Amino acid sequence: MLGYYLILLGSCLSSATNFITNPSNIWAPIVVLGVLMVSMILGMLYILSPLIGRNDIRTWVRAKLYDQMFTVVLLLIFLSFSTALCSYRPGGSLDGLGLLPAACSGSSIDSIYGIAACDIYTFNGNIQGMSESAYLLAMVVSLNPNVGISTGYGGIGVSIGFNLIPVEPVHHYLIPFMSLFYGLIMISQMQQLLVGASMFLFPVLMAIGLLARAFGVTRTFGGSMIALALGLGFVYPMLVSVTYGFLDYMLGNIGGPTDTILTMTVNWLSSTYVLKFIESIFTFNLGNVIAAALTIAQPLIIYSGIIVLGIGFVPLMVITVLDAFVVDVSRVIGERVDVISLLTRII
Amino acid sequence: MRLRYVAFMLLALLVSSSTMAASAQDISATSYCSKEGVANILAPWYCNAKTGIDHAIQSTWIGTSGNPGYVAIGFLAVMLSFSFAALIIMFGIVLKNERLRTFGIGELYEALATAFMVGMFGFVAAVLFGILPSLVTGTINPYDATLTYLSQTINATSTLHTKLAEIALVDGYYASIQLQICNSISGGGGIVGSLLCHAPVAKIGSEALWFGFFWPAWTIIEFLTGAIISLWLQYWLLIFFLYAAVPVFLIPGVILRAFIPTRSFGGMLMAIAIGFYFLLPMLFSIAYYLTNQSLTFQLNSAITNLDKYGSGTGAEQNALTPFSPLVTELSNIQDTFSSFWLEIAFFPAVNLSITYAFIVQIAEILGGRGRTSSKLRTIA
Repeated sequence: MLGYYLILLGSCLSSATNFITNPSNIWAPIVVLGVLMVSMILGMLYILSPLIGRNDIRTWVRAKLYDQMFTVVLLLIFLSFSTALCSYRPGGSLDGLGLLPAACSGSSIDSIYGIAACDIYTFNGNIQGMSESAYLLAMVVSLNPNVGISTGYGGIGVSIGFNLIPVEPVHHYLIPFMSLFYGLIMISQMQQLLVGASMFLFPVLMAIGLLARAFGVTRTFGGSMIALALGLGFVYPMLVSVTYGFLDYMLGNIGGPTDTILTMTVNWLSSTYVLKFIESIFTFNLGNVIAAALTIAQPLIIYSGIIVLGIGFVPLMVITVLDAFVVDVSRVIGERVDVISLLTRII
Repeated sequence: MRLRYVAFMLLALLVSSSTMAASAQDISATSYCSKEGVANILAPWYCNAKTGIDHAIQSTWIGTSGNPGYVAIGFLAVMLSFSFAALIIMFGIVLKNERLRTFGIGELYEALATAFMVGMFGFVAAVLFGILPSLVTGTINPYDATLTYLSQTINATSTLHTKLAEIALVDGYYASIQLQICNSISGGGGIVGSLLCHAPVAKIGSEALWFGFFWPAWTIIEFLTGAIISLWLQYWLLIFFLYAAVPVFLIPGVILRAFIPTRSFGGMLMAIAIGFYFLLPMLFSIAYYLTNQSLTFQLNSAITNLDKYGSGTGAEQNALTPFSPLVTELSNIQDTFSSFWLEIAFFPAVNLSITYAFIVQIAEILGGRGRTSSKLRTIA
């Protein structure tokens, strides 16, 4: 039975490198061995304690034996949970709730980790696309051919110059967008890294936790690691898939980025803007080219609301919930671990 | 004492919201509900004048064919907590362990508390969204009111932004054309490029247009850009919790609350759902109710004036002197900024702070979730 679960777990994590997956197959027998070894010592103590007239040790040993049994139960729960986690296909449920973007639907990525990674990747792609669009637009509107007419005699004269493009100042408000997106994308990139690592962190931290829990000295530390493994390996990708899934879904629904805004901008520049620009030179109708420039700049403002939500409020909320989970679970099965407190102390 | 404040605040909100319920606007009148409008694409039910938001929310709660609805799922989650408690009692009886049985009875009370919380959540939702007749003067729909106010403000601000940019860009263009008197010209006459004027001794241009209108107008445009982003941010935040609060926070919260290790966590999820689903939109609707009417009026009158003075050659002619209509209109637009600051910075900050305080209190009641929150407060 144990072997069956391990095979399932191994196949579930087959996309991971051998370095990561191997320990997840090795640690389970080690945990069992550890439990057996400690149980044997406890058993000896149990037998010997009446001989030395210490019935209190007997009671203590009995409690510790229950603890060992609980470790084995935790191991079995984890193996079953891992199997369920790997075979769970949340795509349908998320889609029903409007939390699955089109880019992330498909059987090949229909797992908690696959969807979470796809969601955050798509979201980062959106930010990237918007940054590049803002850059492209700013560059195009700032390309400003200058025409000058000068006349004079003997080195003294009069000159008059004017620009061909009347929309150059637009780049002044496009530049802050670029700074904003390029600056804040780091937060999302870190989340992408963490989501990518969550599938590996889950078995690794869980293995460390269960191993440590098998030995008396490191029992509380082990419990904390188990809580951290559940938090980072299960709660975190779930939260990411829900929150960023929504943001990507909404962006997709309003015809927004999802990798297309850059293409949209390029198409617009090559078709509408250039035509309006040429037309304005001949007709001197400045309004047309100005209206065209403002039209393409507007979506950037609209989508920025979602992007700022995704790189400001959402990470804070996700971390809050994750921390609450880890604090609660670790308090029950080990030592209380408050990730945020630890981080703030380090900072 | 703090709990009393929370309770008082909630009561005050309910009463004050009821008075403004009648003023909820017809969202279908805004451009965001046009065929290609953002609101129409995102949430068509929101723009549908016949069915409306109330019916849409009702269907998500009660369910449709093939979709069980939140009520059924919530009921299942509550039953799970009861089953868990019953199991413990059963074990207590089988093992003849009085402590286990007493513990099971405690869990049964907890399950009852969970059921009561879910029931209250459904009841408040029903009253607020008009599924049940309201206990006060009429149905209160915070989402309808807030999203309407927000849409109106976004619409007016975006129009003002575009109109002002159109005029400013034309004026900025003309103001940038300068006549230079040079004492060193290389080359000769004709169209040879202004760069050949090496040492200008004087520049004659429309400085009044440049410094008197263009730059102040452009500063306002950049401020309006930030304002629109902030308004959209609030809009998406509300839409997010409208979609996600119940399925993502409330129902998992109920399930997790059934188990002892995750009781506080479940309680916190439930508190997040209650805070963001009810309180936040209600706070926004009240805040916007206070300022929205005067702000949109000011913005719309500014748009009308810009249309009046900025069309055609008026864009240049009406911005040449400090007393020209377009220049004085800039001052009028600046006058609206006090309300704007409230809507784009102060209201979101205050509303989120109140919601946060509310969540901390409620989480403590539902699951003892105060300590983590205090930790978070130190880094927030």
